Amino acid sequence: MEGSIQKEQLQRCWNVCWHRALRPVEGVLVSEELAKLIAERSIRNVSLDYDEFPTEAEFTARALDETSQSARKLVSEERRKLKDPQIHHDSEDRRYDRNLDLDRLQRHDSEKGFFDSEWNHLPKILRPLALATLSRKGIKGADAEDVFSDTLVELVREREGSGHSPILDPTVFEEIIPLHARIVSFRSVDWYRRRGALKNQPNTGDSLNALTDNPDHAMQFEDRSADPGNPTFERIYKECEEALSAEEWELIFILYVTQSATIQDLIGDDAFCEKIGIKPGVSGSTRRRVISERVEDALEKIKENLIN
Amino acid sequence: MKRELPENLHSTCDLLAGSLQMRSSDQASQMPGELFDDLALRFNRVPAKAASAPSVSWFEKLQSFIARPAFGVAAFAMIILALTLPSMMSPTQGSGFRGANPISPTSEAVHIVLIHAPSEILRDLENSGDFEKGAISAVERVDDTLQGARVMVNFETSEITVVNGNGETTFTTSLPEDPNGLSSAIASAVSRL
Repeated sequence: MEGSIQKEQLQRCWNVCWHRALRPVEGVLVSEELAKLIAERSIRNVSLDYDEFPTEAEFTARALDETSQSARKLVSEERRKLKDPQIHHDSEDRRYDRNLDLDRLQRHDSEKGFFDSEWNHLPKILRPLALATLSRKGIKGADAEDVFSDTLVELVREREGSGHSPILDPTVFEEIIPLHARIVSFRSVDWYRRRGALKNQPNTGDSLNALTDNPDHAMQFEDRSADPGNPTFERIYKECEEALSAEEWELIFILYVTQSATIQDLIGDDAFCEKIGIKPGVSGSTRRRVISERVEDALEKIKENLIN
Repeated sequence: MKRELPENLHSTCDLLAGSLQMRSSDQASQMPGELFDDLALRFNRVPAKAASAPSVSWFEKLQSFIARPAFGVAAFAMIILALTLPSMMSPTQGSGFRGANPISPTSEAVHIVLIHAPSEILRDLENSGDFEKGAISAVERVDDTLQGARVMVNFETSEITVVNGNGETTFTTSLPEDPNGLSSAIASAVSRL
């Protein structure tokens, strides 16, 4: 039924929202009970914005976005209330020792800028992660240190137009890690542009092994949420929302995101085929060809519109 | 599925496949049963079909309706209900589903708390006539001792938060980029309570 919701759709939405509520950011882990509350409230909140059920892709993207925001907000409030930035931090996250106080890092004075002494501890946390990333990109030694210094400046530099510094974006401290990783990534591109050639790669600097082989504090450099090449579905949806039709989103969502059906399943689904414009009575091979074309078109659009 | 696609689209497929970012070690807890019931009630409304009946004039329908003994009984019951229902009804606290909450009259005013707001914004809001002057207050930082239903407009975090009478955050949204939209954004947040 058009505009109605099926239990399987809500179940899928529930599963992903629950997971997002449990770990809204890499390094944050809330209790399962709290995740349940956040996911339920977020799904209910989003449902209030619709008179008819939209596509599963749209509803799930919006519910995920609301869940992620609510969970981060709740974690932030509890940390502020209990004056403990370590609350809800995943004890298995060993990228660094302890969280810093985000409120203090974000404290700003019009004359003194970001002046809090908490800033003294931030380079110690970000440096090994940044140097590892830069090393992988072939930037080492003094060059890597220069790029790293630039990235710290970038964190507090007011953006043109909004006058808003990137450090003010995060809701929880753990978000600084992916934020900084993105800055490092962009700055490394700038560095290569300035150098103009790949050949100038000094073979010196911090050893990645030295940072990773320590049995007590082996650094985990891979932060999935930090990787601009590994975006969340809600981000993909936001960036490409208008490029795809509702039917194209549904196709992509079913086939590749939730993988809840195969093309063969869709070929046999008369109602779905009709919805995407395949007339009743056409052969299976024609259905397959039309669905494949629609899928390729949709994937091309996502590829073009996704901001790297 | 991926194999049937041109190679240049494989990476896009991989992005989509990993975009839900779930860990297999985390097992989602069971979906609350009433969640589907509530959403189905909201979205799965079947439109009523028009009944086909022999054509009867409006006056004949009225005559036959009034002539039924049930009409007298129903009319009597309606009068009794009209007199007694208001005293029987008492506002109850609904579930977390804001759409299902009963709209109950309350004498408790909603407070609009501006946190770290520029003074001209407070003045503009008070003079806008959109809100009662006494409903708006300004504080320098988040005050955990505040009680009652309130809408908190935090200019430090650029967020509007709706807190219900039980102290639960029920809705959060970002401040509008255009300051002229602030008044309507707050009104919209108040309507969420």
